[in-house]
Amino acid sequence: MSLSPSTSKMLSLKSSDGKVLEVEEHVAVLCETIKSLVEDGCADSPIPLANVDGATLGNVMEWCKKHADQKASADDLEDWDAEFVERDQGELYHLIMAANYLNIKGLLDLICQKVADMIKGKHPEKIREIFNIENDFTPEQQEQIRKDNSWAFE
Amino acid sequence: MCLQLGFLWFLILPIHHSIGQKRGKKKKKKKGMVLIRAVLSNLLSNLTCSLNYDALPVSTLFKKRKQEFAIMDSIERKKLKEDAINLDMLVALPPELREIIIQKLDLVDYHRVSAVSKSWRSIAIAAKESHCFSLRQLPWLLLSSDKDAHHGFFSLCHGKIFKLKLPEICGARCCGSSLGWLIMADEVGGNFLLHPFSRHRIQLPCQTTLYPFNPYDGFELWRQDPLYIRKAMLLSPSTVTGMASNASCTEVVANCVVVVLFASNCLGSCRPGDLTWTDLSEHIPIAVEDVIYYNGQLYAIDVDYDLVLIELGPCPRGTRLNLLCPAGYDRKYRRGAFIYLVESCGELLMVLRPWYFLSDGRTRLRHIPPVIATTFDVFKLDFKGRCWIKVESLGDQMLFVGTSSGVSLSASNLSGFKENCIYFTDDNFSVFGPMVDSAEACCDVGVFSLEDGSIKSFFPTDSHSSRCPPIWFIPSQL
Repeated sequence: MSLSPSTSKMLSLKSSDGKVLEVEEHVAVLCETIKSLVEDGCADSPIPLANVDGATLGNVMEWCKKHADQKASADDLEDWDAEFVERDQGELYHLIMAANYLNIKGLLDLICQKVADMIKGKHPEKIREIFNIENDFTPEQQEQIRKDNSWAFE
Repeated sequence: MCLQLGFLWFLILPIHHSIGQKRGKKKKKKKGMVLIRAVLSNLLSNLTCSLNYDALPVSTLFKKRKQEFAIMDSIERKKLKEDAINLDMLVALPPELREIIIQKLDLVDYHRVSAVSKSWRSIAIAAKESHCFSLRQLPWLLLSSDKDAHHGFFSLCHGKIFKLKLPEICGARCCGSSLGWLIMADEVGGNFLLHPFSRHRIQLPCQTTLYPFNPYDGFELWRQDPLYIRKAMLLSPSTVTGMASNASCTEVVANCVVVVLFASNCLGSCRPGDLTWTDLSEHIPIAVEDVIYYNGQLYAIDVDYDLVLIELGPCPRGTRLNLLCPAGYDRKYRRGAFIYLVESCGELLMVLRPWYFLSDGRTRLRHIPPVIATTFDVFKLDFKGRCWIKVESLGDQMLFVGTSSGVSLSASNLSGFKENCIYFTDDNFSVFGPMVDSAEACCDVGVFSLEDGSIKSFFPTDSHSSRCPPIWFIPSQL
């Protein structure tokens, strides 16, 4: 089933907090979950997305819209994505959950990569600072953990 | 059973549906009605579990899906969502999503994540035990040291050298690295596999157990010498290259075969647990340059750029593919070149690294000058046409060659690395053995760009060991 922009109709998506978003079908079908509903002919009335709040749904659809745009070049998308992921952790968390629920592999991968990049190359102290985590190891436990793989903590 | 349930569904659905619609209009409906509704919806939710989706008409299926969406929004999730903002994002995510994030990390970051907090530590451990878990594959350079038990691992990605204490390889030579393991030869000809991070060691038969059918008598003299093995490979018949989780790692190694290329260009093989090496030179009398498992078959490349299909087992044999000579090379007037086999995106590549003697005007006593690479040629196998086709670009791939098993990796998302390049390490010992002046060996390390033909340095090539050049190594977990 090919869906080109010219034949695209509008779909309404209803978020968990009751907001209804009108989205072009060729954009919304980047979500595999919605695509299968469309393919089964079940996308007539507002589609309830009980696991995605209105703000997150808006962000997700913004990403889908950009990635459904066939004129966008690979470099262009890369730059756009890099800007798109500059968000606080709450937003990133909601985007991961939404991308998983709506089954958008590209978006899920992008956000997970962003979180991995926040961890990469950093020592535990710095990771705790970034993710606002308390160190609940006893000094002895911590000493042992570092001793086991001391090379990785140099 | 299914039919019956389907029938029940149709009976119940209209009633349930109409009740739902009327709900808003008539709030003060009879109590009995509410009870019926509760019973029915209970019955409905029980039924949905056992209903066959395919048997339902489309309209029913839609309603069913709508219901599913609603069910998934549990109070628990909501609570976790709030926690994520205030507290701990990784903890709030479901395990399968945490795994996606952790798998994007390398071994160093993995250990650091495990040291963040108790919950992060259990998340990291749980992820490791999941069936198809593997960490990001990043090539490091193993820098052996002659002087002490600390060996360096240079990570281009981290831009630093990690020091690892490995007393078991002190004085031993690393003859190869594959699948996260090092293949070692010690000073008296003992061979073993070593997983450097877990320090897991698997004994192999001694190379002295091999009494080779050797056309070159001279080699008999130094059969104990670690340099007697030119290159060693741990070959896995399966396509699994990322050996990460505990179970798969031991399983894969048990099914692996170690193939060695002796200084005489002859082949030998053994499996972990064997008491002696199997000499293949009598059955397969070819001058081998490299060996690879490709499409489930074992292939060797000989000095004439021809592939030989190798069959191990009680009666080992080799069958030539009789490939045409690659363009620019001649079988009669051979150019001195290292030959590597690498699998890249499903293609079998032959990488040719012509070598030239380093001529700096110095006179060397008893030793030959080291050789250096000035260019590389890449060809891919055309199995049907029985020939090698020149490869002009590797796309986003980069190749890693040297004494280790050749590896091809995508450069995307890898900081520090460049696509369409060949990263190479010194291979002087593999051709000239002890004739190479050790003071000057191990220096031919660099990166060749297929785009502009340049060779650049990516690592300061001060030799750390006189007998073991830097060698590519892809860390894996055990």
